Amino acid sequence: MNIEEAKLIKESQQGSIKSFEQLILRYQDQAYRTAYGMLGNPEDAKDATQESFIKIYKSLKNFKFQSNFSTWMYRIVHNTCLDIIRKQKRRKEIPMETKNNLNNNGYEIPLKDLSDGPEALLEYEFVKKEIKKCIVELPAEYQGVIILRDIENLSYEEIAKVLNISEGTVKSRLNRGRKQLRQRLTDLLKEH
Amino acid sequence: MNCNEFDEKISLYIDGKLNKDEEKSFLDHVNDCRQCFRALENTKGILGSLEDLNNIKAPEDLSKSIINALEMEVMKSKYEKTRKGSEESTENSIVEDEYENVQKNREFYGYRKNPRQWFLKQNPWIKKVSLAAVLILIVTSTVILNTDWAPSPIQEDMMVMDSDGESDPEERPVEESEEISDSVENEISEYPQRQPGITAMEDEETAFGEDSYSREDQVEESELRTMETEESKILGVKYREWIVLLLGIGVITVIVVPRKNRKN
Repeated sequence: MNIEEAKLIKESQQGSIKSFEQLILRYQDQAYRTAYGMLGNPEDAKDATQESFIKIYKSLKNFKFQSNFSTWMYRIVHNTCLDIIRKQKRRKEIPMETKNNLNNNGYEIPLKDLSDGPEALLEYEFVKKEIKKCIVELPAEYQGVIILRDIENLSYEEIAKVLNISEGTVKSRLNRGRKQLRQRLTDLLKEH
Repeated sequence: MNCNEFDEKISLYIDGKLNKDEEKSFLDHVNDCRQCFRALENTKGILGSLEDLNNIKAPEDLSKSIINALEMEVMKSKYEKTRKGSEESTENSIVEDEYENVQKNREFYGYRKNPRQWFLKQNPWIKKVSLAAVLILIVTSTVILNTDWAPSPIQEDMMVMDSDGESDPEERPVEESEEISDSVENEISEYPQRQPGITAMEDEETAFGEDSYSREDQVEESELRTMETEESKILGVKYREWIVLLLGIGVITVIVVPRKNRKN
């Protein structure tokens, strides 16, 4: 955490909404992306981000500078999204144990390569869209680690702090989550 | 390394968490096993797509909407605290202006409970204007209530004629209507429009006719007035009382509404 950010946090703790606005501008993209990844649509993501920042402002007094502000923010956003998901009760989780053998699928997920021409790009865009759906449908415990690791590029250590779990749990959840994501996506693309 | 081990290590390999030996063993298996090779390529493809999601930006108006919602939230909590009379609200004041607004709102909404206290706290000019408005209200209402708005004799007669005209002529005796028209003519003759050349005998007849009108029509006139009075009431209140009431509401509105707007 740099000095400028610490100053903004302290001023926000003293009640400065202007300073807090600066913090929002710094972190709103990360918060929005996380919410978008978990909830799957822009409206819910916007609401969740707004709710999260209000929670952050209200509990800013409890922030003791013992962790990064971003870690703390991700935790609040993640928990807010989990609350929203629970309320909506619209999650359709994939069973924890996948029936199909991972290595039995014959579909190759296209890699992003613009030199392959417009058709490949369209296919790639379609896959990207499907990936978003698949992430939303993942169990929450895998969803969080995948978003924080593969979208937000947080380290295992940071993810462990955000989710308040051990690094070992992060590794195992990440591995299982990616596996489920890959399985789900290949099934969808085969149907397509 | 077998396929199950590959399955356990794939994530660590992608994140660069394997040591050199583990990595070599992993890659050897990938080169030997086509299915594992494909699984690795697919996983890389998915994660590449996820990295693209990193370019997603928050909507431009998000920060403003957050700040607006936050200000509303702060206002709400402050207002609730001040209404409860909590002293914490002053200690934890977040934005002074907002707190002043809350205090003003508190004064504005609190005066209903204790109008005297509210009035004493006001600006001297507001006190003067309020007192002046109240005095004007009292004087105006006194004048209006004491004014005899009874119609002039001619207007009364016209009203009598009107009311007669409205009633069914078949139900009224012919003599009565004739007497009334005679009396009206006699009444009109008292005024300067009197036509020249009227004799003393005619004057006596006129005087006799006037007396006759006064005696016979007094009852009817009083009945008509009673009817008029009843008609001029709305919900049991006379017009003049309604005027006073509306005037009072107007004065109070003039005093209170600008203050409310200014505070908002």
